[in-house]
Amino acid sequence: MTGTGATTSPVLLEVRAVNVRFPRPRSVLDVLARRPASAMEAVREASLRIAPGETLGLVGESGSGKTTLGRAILQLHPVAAGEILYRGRSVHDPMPDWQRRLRREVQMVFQDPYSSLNPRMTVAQTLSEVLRFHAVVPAAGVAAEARRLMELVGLSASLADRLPRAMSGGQRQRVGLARALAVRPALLVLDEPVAALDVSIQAQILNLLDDLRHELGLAMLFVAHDLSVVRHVSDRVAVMYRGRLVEQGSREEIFARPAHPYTRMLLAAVPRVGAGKRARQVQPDTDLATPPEGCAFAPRCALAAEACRAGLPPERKLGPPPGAACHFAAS
Amino acid sequence: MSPGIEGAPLLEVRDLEVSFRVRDGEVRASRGVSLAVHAGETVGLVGESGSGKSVLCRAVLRLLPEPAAQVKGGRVLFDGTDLLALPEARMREIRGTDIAMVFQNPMTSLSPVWPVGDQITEGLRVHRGLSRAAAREQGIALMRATGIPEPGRRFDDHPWQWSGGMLQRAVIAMAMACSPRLLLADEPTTALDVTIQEQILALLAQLQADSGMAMVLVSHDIGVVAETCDRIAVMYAGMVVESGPATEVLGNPRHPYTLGLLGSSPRVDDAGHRLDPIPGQPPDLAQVSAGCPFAARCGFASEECHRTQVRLADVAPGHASACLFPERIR
Repeated sequence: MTGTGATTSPVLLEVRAVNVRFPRPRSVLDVLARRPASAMEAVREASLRIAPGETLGLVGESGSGKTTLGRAILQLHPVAAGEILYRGRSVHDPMPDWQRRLRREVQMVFQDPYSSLNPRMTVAQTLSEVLRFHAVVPAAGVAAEARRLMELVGLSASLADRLPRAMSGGQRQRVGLARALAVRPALLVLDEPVAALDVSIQAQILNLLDDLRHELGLAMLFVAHDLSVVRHVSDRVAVMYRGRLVEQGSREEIFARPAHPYTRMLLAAVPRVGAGKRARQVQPDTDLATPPEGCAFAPRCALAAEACRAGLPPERKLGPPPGAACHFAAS
Repeated sequence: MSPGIEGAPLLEVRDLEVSFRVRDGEVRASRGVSLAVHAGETVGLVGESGSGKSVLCRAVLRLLPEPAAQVKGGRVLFDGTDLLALPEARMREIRGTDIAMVFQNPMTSLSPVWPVGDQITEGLRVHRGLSRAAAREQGIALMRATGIPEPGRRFDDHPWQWSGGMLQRAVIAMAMACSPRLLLADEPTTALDVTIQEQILALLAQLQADSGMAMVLVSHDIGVVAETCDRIAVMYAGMVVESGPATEVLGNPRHPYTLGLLGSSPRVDDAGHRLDPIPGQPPDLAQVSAGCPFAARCGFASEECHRTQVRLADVAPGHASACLFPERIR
């Protein structure tokens, strides 16, 4: 279940050196002056693997590219370089039956269930539509299957005829989950599934996800900014910074022995309940507008030396997975 | 520096009642809230959305959206003066000078069309009568004190040119401009990344240590409050359900909701244990029962809890709980 030896365990999803590029907006003047279109690299040379039944937590701060990478797996963003393999076959293979299979086996759950549910469809309608479209069960069994799904995610049957706006955030997120699970996927990509929820409801959903992945043998890519949440759900953890994966490892490794200075900085910044009032060091803001040559973290890194700012990013030489993309990674 | 807990509090809210008029009735957003904040002290307000944290802050500054919101009762004493009884003109002098507020989203608390520096120094020009040149000089000093790099060059920038963390520094600089005696910080780091949050909390603590001001820190994140505050008030359904020294409230909680919040919060320093969520849904404020508002979700509740009105009562010196049976929580 917990696939740590990434080379020997079976692989469900493999992301190989993927780049995702977004074109920069061009003004009319740019077009008239025939300035060439430029692009920003949202994800750079990202590689990761997920074994069947395994949960990989993908953490990073805003703008790190974690959401973009998750969406690229679902083909919601085109890939500029590299490949994404599901069960050893490219997700971009256009064969219609392969694409249909992918759309069943790989499902996504979004952060804001309110904007990802049809506001005019009740819970029962939302679930029945998916069940019918993918012919998951015979037509006569659709209503019963919808009820089973609602029970699976802890929604009371009395909510079947509710519209999204008549439900709480936690209930809507359960509907989003039920819809994703309706097609019996093997891999769920969850993008900040609990970030918009209050802590008591967040805990309910996290426990539910934990139950579901054990009951159904689901693999998950859990994208989140909150390290405490990621620690709770993940078998392995990947850390992203400014488009690059800077460290990957088992949950125990990442939280007990973080190797990359950025991972250590992130962990140190998470507020803890037990320790009482804590003195902090005031630091001036760092200008992060222009990505530097070399290691992207170097401007904020206490350990950064000349080698880190040199032309070739150290990620190339020491790159994951697993391990840390740093010249000075603590061993 | 030990906060002056002895003596009269700088801010004292007593039995505050705030209601919002809605289509089919009334929502009691603040139900008999009392809170004291002493000079130099940081008091944390924790609770989930709709618990009344922000309503309390806005009521202190009289920034509630009237006439939809009505203060139905209670007093807000600032240094002995009841703010609720002041004429609006006098209140306007207090806002930004004696009491300042920092809001959650820095992008919405700054005007997009004016230079950031002008917005930081507006209070200095309006309240202190500083000239443009003098205000600019002080504004640059404030920007430097809040860690904004190259303040001289950035004074004339517009908000869209800055990152979220830098904008929050600007909003804090703006709040600090007239050296307030009380700062109300409403989720000041919620929109920020955790490493930026770390820097903003450090900045607030530093400014507070230098100026001796009192601070109310509103947060849904129990960790943020634990690491920043001297005392904590836990809010639920418009009520303070537990208050006391931070270490006491979090280390020895005496209200089941506080216990539930602690059990629900994932810990970064504690692997793999299963979370202990609070069952059920947050309360619908339009339909809160006569009894304890938490009773419906409470594992310790008995029949009395559903019909007996609850009030904060001391369970230890300085530590109060609004639970009828605090001895059940052990």
